[in-house]
Amino acid sequence: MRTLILALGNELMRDDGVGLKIGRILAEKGYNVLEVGTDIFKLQNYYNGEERIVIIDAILSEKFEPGKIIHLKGEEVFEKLKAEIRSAHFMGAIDGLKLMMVLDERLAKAEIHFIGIVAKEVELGMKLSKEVENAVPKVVELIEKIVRS
Amino acid sequence: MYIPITIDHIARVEGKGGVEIVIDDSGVKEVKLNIIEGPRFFEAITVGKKLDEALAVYPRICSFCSAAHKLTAIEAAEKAIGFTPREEIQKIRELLYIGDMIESHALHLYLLVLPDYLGYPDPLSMIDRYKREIEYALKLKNIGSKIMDVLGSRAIHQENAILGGFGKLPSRAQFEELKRELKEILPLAEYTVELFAKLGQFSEVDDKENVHMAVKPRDGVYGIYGDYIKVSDGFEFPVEDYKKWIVERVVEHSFAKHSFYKEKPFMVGAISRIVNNADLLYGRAKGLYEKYKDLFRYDNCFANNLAQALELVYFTEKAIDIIDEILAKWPIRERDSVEIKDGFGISITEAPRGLLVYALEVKDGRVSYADIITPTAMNLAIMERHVRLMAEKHYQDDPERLKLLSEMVVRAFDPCISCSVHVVKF
Repeated sequence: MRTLILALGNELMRDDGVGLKIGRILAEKGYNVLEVGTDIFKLQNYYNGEERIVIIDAILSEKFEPGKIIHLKGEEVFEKLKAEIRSAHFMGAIDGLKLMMVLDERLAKAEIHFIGIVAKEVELGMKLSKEVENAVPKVVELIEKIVRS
Repeated sequence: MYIPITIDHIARVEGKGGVEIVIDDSGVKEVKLNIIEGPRFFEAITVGKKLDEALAVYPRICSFCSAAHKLTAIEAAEKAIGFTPREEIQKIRELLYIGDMIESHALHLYLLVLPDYLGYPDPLSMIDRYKREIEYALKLKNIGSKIMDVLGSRAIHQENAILGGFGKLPSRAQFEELKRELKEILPLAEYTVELFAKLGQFSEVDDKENVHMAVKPRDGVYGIYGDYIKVSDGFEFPVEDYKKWIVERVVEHSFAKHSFYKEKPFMVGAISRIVNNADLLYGRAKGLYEKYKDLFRYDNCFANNLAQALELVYFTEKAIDIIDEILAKWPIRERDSVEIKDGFGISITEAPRGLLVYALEVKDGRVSYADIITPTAMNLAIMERHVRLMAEKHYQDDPERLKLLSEMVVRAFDPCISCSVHVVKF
């Protein structure tokens, strides 16, 4: 099964950049990574019908501790995640993905994974918080496991 | 009664940003637009950095306008060090910039503005009935991002655009492929104009006092680069004098500074370009402009939507023409060597949302001063004024209706706030 890893986030907003940082580590290891930043629609230009999509992104949560890794799969991704922030210029990544799934049958059939890392500091800056930094190697390991499965 | 109206979660995580309209028994008391001002942070973090390192940071201000930021910063830097790019390089840069313009306008018009007009909360809900429109949006958007990927590099930070030219130029075949794809989307762009010409412009925000500012195109053709700024009152000034005419002031209720021209708010963006430079349009866009001339109104901010639609046509055609010019001069050397000297340079370009100012000072190879003003920052004051106009007419309506109408006013200005966070909530 071919896998495409989508790295989301804004590295200028500290922990919000964790997805991009993990994506770069995986890209260096030779995985198929697309850095989409805050533009999920980039996927359309680069999607080659991969059967599995793994999304990495920071998440906000009041329930979970910073640095916690949350792995959602399939329908859960759409049920449990709320695209809380619809920027005035854009729509949330999850909504964007849904939209593309309506337009592309291959994508609609793909196995979707979402790996979220609970953020602590989301403010202007480029350094990850300690908690989130500590989660990075674990996320890398988890994604490698998913890709190999 | 206090109605906080949240336009979007223009996030500062500690408090939801957006628009707040304060209403009491006598009417609208206050309208506040809370938008984070990201660029201030970049000015600070790039001072002291080597020039090329700083230039790698500026495009990160906004992943949607990364090309606009990169190219404006490069022009300011090249002016500072006393370098003038070759004509071919300038053309290719303009093509890259057009990619940004097409992507940005397509997303804004179809995914943000259109759902409001059609009565849907978001683009996803309208897909059953308006699949074609969503497909058009993404096709237009994708050609814009493809131009940026091919010329600026695949990543989102345009690292291929550098001082003196480009790291590497695409092949002739890649330019030809872009041209083919641009030709394919031209009818979609024209459809966009026809579609948006049918949408209403709310008379509540009619404002005869509207003043528009735009770059006076350098080559005499409607475009992005220039050395003078035109104001719709007939005044012109060289970009070097921007501080005299674009006066930024701290206002009590806002995190961000507001900008004023002759003590009054002013507007920048697609409609401001049309108001000032419509006579410099050509091709199909010129024909469409003539057809809908009365709708390109200086006195109604909603005309900005139609102006963006018209620019989709214009810039698609212009991109095709630029590619023809590039191919006629092929092969092109990708860059010239630059010598980093001390100096000060100012560039003002037309970003998708309007004037973008970069002023950079270089000393001993490092950035010693940076001033960046984004179009959204410039539009803040007039946006607030127009939200107020709308609120004054509708404050007694159902709050949901007031909220929608206020959102529509803000969206007409297409504010860029993607330097805010986008994280999902669990």
